[in-house]
Amino acid sequence: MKIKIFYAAIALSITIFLTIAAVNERVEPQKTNKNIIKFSHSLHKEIAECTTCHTKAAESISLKDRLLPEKDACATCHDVEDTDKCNTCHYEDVNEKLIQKESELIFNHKKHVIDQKMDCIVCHKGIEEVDYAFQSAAAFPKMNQCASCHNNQSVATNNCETCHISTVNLIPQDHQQVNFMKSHKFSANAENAECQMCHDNDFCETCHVSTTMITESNTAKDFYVPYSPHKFIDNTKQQQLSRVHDLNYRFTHGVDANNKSSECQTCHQVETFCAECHNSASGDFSMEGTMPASHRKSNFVTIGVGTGGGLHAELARRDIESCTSCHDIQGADPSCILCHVDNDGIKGTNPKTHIRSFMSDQDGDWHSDANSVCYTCHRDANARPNGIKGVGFCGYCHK
Amino acid sequence: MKKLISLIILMPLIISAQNINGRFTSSVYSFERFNDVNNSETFFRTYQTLNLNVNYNKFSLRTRFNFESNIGNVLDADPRTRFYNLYLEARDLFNLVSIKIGRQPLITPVAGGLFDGINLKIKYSGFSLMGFYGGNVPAYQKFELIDDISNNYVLGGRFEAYALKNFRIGISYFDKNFKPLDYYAERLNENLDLVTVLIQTKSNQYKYLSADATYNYNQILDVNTRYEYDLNYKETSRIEFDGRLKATKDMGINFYYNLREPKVRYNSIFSVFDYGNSQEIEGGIDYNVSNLYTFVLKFGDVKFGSEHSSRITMGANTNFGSLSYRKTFGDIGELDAISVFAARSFFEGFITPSIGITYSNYKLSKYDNINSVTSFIGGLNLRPWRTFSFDFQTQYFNNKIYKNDLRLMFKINYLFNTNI
Repeated sequence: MKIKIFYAAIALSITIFLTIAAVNERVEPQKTNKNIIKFSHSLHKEIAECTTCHTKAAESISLKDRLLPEKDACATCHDVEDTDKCNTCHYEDVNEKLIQKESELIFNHKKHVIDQKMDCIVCHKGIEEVDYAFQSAAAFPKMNQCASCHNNQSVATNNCETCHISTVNLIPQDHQQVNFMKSHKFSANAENAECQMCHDNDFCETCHVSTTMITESNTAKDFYVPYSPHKFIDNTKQQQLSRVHDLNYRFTHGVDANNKSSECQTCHQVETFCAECHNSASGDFSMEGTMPASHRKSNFVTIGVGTGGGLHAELARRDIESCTSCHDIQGADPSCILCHVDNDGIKGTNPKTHIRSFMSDQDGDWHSDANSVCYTCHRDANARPNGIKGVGFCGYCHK
Repeated sequence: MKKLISLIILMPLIISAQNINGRFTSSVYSFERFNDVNNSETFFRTYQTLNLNVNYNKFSLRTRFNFESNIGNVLDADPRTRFYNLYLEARDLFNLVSIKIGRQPLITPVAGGLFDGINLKIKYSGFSLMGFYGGNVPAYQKFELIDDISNNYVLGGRFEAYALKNFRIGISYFDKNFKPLDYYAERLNENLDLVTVLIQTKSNQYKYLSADATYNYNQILDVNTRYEYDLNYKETSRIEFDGRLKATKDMGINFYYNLREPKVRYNSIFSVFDYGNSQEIEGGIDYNVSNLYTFVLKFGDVKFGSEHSSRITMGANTNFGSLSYRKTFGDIGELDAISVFAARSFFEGFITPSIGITYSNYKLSKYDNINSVTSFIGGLNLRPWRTFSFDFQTQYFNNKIYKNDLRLMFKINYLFNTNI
């Protein structure tokens, strides 16, 4: 039954997807103004201002306005009454209106040309060097050109809605590449990185947040869903609550966490984030709470020197970060120390913890610091800085 | 008093500003919480967020804070005000120096996050040197400075050279300290009598040196590498390689490798255990069918000692949404998941409906049973004005824990920009 539901869901999803895809498909016109009229911007650059021909551009407040020259504008210089000269500009039997591309941008020429007193070629770069506008790669400004002012710094906001009619589909091509989630850390560091064109100064920390000073515990009474206010700020995908992970990720994230296919700590501070859900009323993880299924296995913990520790030791060796995600809450969870403790200081009589030759070639901090983590477990009477050689903890190394 | 002083310092900046811009967002989100198997409560949690930039020439004041509370069922720590950042920024002073002071984000190749402190960057002729120092941010981003900065701080820097064409190299140092809370625990003394002891450990620490290099050739070949060295344990912490080749105009091939030692803080109780590293390898292809469609396919494998886990991901990214299928298999958990999200604007952005559906079968470990989960979101954005909009969204979950769980969200956005 479940497999039928699964395939039904796949079929439904694909159907919806393709339906919306079909609605969104647009056929770009292949024909250009080069096929309609003979014209050269470079030939006209010395003899006319831009607004001589593009008469409505300076006063325009919308890209829906028709900004290309009409015949009357040409007639101010060209004798359009002389039918023998039609082919000066027109191809034979081609008398069509110029093609103006549709735009999904909101742009106010008047505000920029008249109010800000900007020259046309500040944005339409290189247009005076070519015949047709499309022949200059910079004739229609790219976003980084706009971002030189729309940067939240000088005169204009970079809120996406200011210029874009819709914000749901503003995804740069490189964000759609197969490796983007892993490579963005490299590209974001590039000298010419343009992340800030779309992302606010606070965008990075929505994931790379690192709150570490926990001074209070999260009780069951204080627990709520979701603990993710960053999902409620506005980015380009304003409507999509689940942006990075799939909608069902709350339930399936254990697969990624186990597999280390994502490094959760990059975005989530484990002491706060994981504990929010994997918590218990008492705050003692060793006694209750949302416990992984593995912890309920009969051999999860085996007690006694030589038993190997059981399943938990195997799991911890493979992925200790999964242990820390619940248990290392600022040192306040004593689960490990219930067993991993050495009271007699006699080597070989306590649960094995360290790898072979652990710290043997280093001058460990237990020599000088009474707060060393070593003394959490090694608690024989001689376990202290400058202890007596050959006795208890110190006797591990100093015979 | 602290807030008053802050206000006095900040007010002249605001009054003399040339440009003020930002965004205000107000939202409410409903959810149901089960206190036990048979009893549940419905909560309405509200969030008020202000994102504000105040600018004067090369100087800016930037902040974002969030005020949250419940309507009705008040939580213990409500209301909460979180200051995600609040800092002064001066850019390109003498075309050489940039400086940030206050609560600010820190993004470095080694580690990142928020901190309260100072960040200074000097940039000259293809080289840059950056240094930072400050205290950790208190839990829940409270508008407070931590008391014990000597045990709770970040310190580091980065040197970067990008003078050579297409090539960049950086060296970073990062030292982050945390002082764990003291706590009482039951222990046995030398006579095996039960005693209560106060466990006090000193500041835990991450301390890394990192080098990274990037080569890019005409947007055809990208090679990124990173190496991290753990100064506390005196061993390699990470080796990472990311390569991308634009094989044809429309097709890219990617390769990724990662060797990683678990990040366990020095002087944490976990730091003394015997644990292993993981190796991850991944390869993928993306292909642009047109400007509207990109198909992706990738395969990854993660190895832990003798065990390993594999995954396959395939799907399409488009201008109107995404479709993906993912399968995970191997020694550590299984997953089959399909996800689709789509949105489209009508009437020049006035109305934008969206829909998202996922369905998954999963088994979190070999000790678990197979479970399934269905989730759905349906949303509507209304934008009667460019600066003012409303969002509605409903979320539905169904799995063994959340049976027919329905949640609702409503949000109001207002953005502003004023040149004075």
